[in-house]
Amino acid sequence: MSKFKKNNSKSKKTIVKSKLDEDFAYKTVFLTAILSGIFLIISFLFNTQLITIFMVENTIWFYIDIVIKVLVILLFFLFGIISIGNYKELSGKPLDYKLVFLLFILSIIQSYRNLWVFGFTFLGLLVIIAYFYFIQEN
Amino acid sequence: MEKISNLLGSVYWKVKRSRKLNIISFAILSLISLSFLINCLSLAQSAEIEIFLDFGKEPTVDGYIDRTADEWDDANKQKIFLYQNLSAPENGLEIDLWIVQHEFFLYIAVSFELVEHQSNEFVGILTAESESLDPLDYEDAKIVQFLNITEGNFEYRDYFINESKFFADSQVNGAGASHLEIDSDRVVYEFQLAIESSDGGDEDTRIEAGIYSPFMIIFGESQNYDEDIMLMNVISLFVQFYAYNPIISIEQIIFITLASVIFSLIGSFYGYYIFQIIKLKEKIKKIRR
Repeated sequence: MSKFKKNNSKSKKTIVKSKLDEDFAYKTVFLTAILSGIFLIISFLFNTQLITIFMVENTIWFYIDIVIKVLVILLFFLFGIISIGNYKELSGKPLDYKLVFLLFILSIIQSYRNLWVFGFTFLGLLVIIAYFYFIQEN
Repeated sequence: MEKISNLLGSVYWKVKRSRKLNIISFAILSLISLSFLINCLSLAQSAEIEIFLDFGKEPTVDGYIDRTADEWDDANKQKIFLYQNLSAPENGLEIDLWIVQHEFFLYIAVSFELVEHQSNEFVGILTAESESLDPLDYEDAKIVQFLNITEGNFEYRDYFINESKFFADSQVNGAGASHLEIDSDRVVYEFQLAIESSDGGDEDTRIEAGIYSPFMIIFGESQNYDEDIMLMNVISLFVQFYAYNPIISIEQIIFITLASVIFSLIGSFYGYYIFQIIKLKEKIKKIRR
């Protein structure tokens, strides 16, 4: 009797724990998706040049302008890939390369107006993908 | 009886009051008419030429009127006289005055014929906030000064006038050019003046849009502007407000279209993903049940 009871409480504990993990994972999926959306809006404003950050060229502000635009796209990609990764984890499927490639394309095309931004974003995206790849390997 | 006297009293007061009123109203009316008369007299002495400007094609300020390129075709064209004394104008020099406004600039062309042109001939445009018949009362001067008219050497000069003396501006604003056609003895002076610009600071008059502003055209034959302004006249110009109308280039249209296509694509993917997240929540709930 006692043995049965013990097993029951253990399974209950694991159920509660898995429930909590699921909730946490779901919250992470949702929050990172929202953050990704916020950076997408910021990227839309800056990278389409609806809002010009700095007008003066060939100064330090010119480079700051590029850095801001690149960072915004990279953060969109970073939060997007975290969100999709966790979503796939929750739905029990692995994150395939097709999705990573799609997100890569959706991120890089945001920098269509500036070659400098395009170049640095391309490099940044490769670094992020490599980072996630090696983390998975470990 | 009391009633009658009271009645008479009120009538007397009324009569007295109406007389007082008449005197006061007569005094006010005479004051108004006097001021109106003074105003009319001063108007008669001030600029008789009022020009309401129109926008037109931008002419090149080079001293040449290029008729093949229809330059100055949009300009307001007037024939006016420059006089020695504006209080008693007589025997004036007839000039062709062409004025056009393009964006934030005013373009003025002055052309005339003389039997003999002097080597140091000049034409200037004086500006001020208030009108005067004396050139030395003006505040700013843009002058095209010939150094040697037969060789075609000239200088564009920007001066300010302080206490009846001309002083060179520390920064030259505006543009001017001139050219003498030796065959016809016709000289052309062209000016470009900025509108609603404060670039010149205290040394330049800010030409305001939406009001009539006085412009004095001066002519002389030396480089001593304080004393040797020979001929002049005042015109009143109504400068228009320029409504900036940006022209969208094809490149910009392509960029805008690309932006809308790219970000709507990403947006639709994002929306679909959010929808999937919401659906996942429902799925989890179902599995739990």
